[in-house]
Amino acid sequence: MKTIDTVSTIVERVHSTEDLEKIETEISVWINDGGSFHSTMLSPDQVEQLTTTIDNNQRVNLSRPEVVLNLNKLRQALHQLPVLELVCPFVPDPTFKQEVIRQLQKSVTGNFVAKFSTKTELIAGMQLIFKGKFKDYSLLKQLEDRKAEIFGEVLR
Amino acid sequence: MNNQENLLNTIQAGGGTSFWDKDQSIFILVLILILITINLVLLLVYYFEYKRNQKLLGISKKFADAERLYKRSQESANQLLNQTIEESQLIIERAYKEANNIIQQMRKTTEKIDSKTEAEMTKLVADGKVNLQKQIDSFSQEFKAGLTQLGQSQTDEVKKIQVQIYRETLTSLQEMIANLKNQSMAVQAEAGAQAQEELKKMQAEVIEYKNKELGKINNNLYDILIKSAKIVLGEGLDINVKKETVLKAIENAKRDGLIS
Repeated sequence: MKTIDTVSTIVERVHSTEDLEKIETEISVWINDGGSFHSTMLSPDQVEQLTTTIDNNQRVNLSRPEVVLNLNKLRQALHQLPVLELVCPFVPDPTFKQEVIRQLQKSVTGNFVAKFSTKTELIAGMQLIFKGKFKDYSLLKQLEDRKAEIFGEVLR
Repeated sequence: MNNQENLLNTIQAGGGTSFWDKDQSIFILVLILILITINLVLLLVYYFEYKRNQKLLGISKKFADAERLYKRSQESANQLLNQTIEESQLIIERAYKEANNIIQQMRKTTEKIDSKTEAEMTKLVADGKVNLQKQIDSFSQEFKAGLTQLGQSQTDEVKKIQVQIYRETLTSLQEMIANLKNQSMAVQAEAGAQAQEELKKMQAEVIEYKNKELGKINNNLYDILIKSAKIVLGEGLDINVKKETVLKAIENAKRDGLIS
């Protein structure tokens, strides 16, 4: 498998900024510490594809610079992924995050990275920011939109 | 007169040179002279009084003087007339008395007096008195008529002066009133405009203040509402409910084309 294909498959597996950060941390650690490259995010085959090559029908370890080159290609590809920011009224647990990403993957075309953040004042609902567009689906926004209606009742 | 002429002819004829005839002629002559004198005196009086009145009757250009002069002249004229009449009366009485005295004296000096002559002399004196009275009456009437005319003309002049003064005063007053009205209207208009501007400013300030205060109230109420909602909804809402709202928001985003 070519490196590019490996990178693509790896990118497909990265769905969140946590995943990105994880991979980035693993790459940084390997660069600093050396040794063999290991990743919890990448499958063994993917790691093998990034760190070895076939030479005379044998898998040979790539040199360090070659590995660094491959990893930088991976980094570059990962950083080019569009970020879909989700602002939640609570701190989502990993399970919920996965569920949200699954739901998003049904709707979003192409690869993306989901970025989760928290604002409790939203009360409920969510804010979405994707490809330069912002949309507020929070309960706070609904309250603000209906302020005139609400206060009209109050002040009447 | 015929009796007089007869007497004079008798005297001229030289006949009857009795002492009585001579005296009679002299008596008659004296009487005639007296009558003439009285008339002359009266005429002189008339003349002088008229002249005096002419001088008195001057019309002042000023209204007050003209009025005073008019009144004064009227009074003076009346006074003079009365004096003249009185004096004339006195003169007549004096003349009459004198004539009577002469007759009485002549009676004393003569033993016999022709009754006819005496009657004629008496009648002569009486006639003279009547004539004088008539002249005086006629003079007083004419004088009064002249005074009345003069008085009317004076009144017209005074009235003219009065009217002129009244007109001038009225015009001045009307001008003053018009000016005052214009000034007061201008002042009122200016004041009114200023008042309108002030009112508008005040209204604008009141509206601004009201909106500001209402805005504060609104914001305060909103803050309270949000806090209440946060407390009630945020803490009261189950986590699963919140998760459902998030998933619901994803569906809405897909519906709105935000994620595609």
